[in-house]
Amino acid sequence: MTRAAWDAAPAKAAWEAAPADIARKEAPAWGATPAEALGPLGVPLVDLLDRVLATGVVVTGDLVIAIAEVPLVRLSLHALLSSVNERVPAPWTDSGPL
Amino acid sequence: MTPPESPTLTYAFAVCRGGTLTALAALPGLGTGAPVRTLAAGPLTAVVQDVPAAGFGEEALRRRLSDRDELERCARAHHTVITAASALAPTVPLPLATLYLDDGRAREALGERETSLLTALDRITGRAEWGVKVYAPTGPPPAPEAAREATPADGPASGRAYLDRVRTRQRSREQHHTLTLRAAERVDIAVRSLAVAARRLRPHGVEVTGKHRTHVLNAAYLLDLGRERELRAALASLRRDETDVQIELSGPWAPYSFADGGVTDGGPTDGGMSP
Repeated sequence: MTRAAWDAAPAKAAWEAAPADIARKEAPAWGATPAEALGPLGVPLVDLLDRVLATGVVVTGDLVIAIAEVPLVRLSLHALLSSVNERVPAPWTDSGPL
Repeated sequence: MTPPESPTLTYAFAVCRGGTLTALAALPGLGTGAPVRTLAAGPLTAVVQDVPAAGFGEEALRRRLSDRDELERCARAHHTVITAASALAPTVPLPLATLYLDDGRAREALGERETSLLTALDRITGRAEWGVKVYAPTGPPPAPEAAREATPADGPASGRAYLDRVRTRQRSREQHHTLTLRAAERVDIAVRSLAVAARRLRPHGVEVTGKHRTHVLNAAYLLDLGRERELRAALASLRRDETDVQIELSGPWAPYSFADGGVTDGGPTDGGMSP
């Protein structure tokens, strides 16, 4: 979905009104796995991104994405961050190594 | 461990020490069809999965993680495996999309980080992460009583009364903001006293919180496993005392925010202020 399409979508307003509820409702099929029962149920995406991205980028970013022996974490995560930024502004701790 | 026909990469979710992790094989992981498995690397055990190189190469990965739905799917898959592992053994979560060319490369990379990973495992063993968020409702500021009462008596000086009202309203808004920040600080101090480590995450913007409230504190705390009841009691008491703010608790989380070498406070860069 493009940025403009998203802006126009009714889902956007709903997301802004109740992000946690939406994240819970939209939780994909892996929610049905046994592991989900062990952790916080229906974790809001934004709380999750706070963690998987903050640790990924800031904390252990140098345990690298090593494809073809090239550390790609900076390259590919840069794309990720700029895209996330559109709707989930800055969930990470600080600017990180990017 | 028979090599499949199409080339694969090794996706690493987490690093554990000890524990019986065979139950993880039942998880779909990233849904590639390959089982979630363990990979011994010296004293460490990595939780990994084979993923097709075609779907997780640089370009494919970039596309995948740039798409919100796909990013969410990956983040939740990653989180599910980490959560399951951390229920079975001390677990250091690895970043989303930590990929290696093969098992050998993964072992090598973990070997290079062995000391710091062992230190991190020491720190998080027997502990869990909890998230505490504090919000301030953004309703209209309290009515400026003084200014309103003064108005009728002022008569001709109504211009001045108007300015007074504006000034008072502005001041009361600032005071309200300061009050909520102080409340957030008190919440932080109280929870911190139960924790072995604390970390400030950046508060979320209005796109996430909605216009009806401002996010003034987004913090993570590392607590000993036995302290959940104390934590809940402390928050119940804080909720009674701090009526200007809303306090939310999440967890227990795998120790995402405490996996790095130096667990530090966010410091002056993130005092939780949002204008």
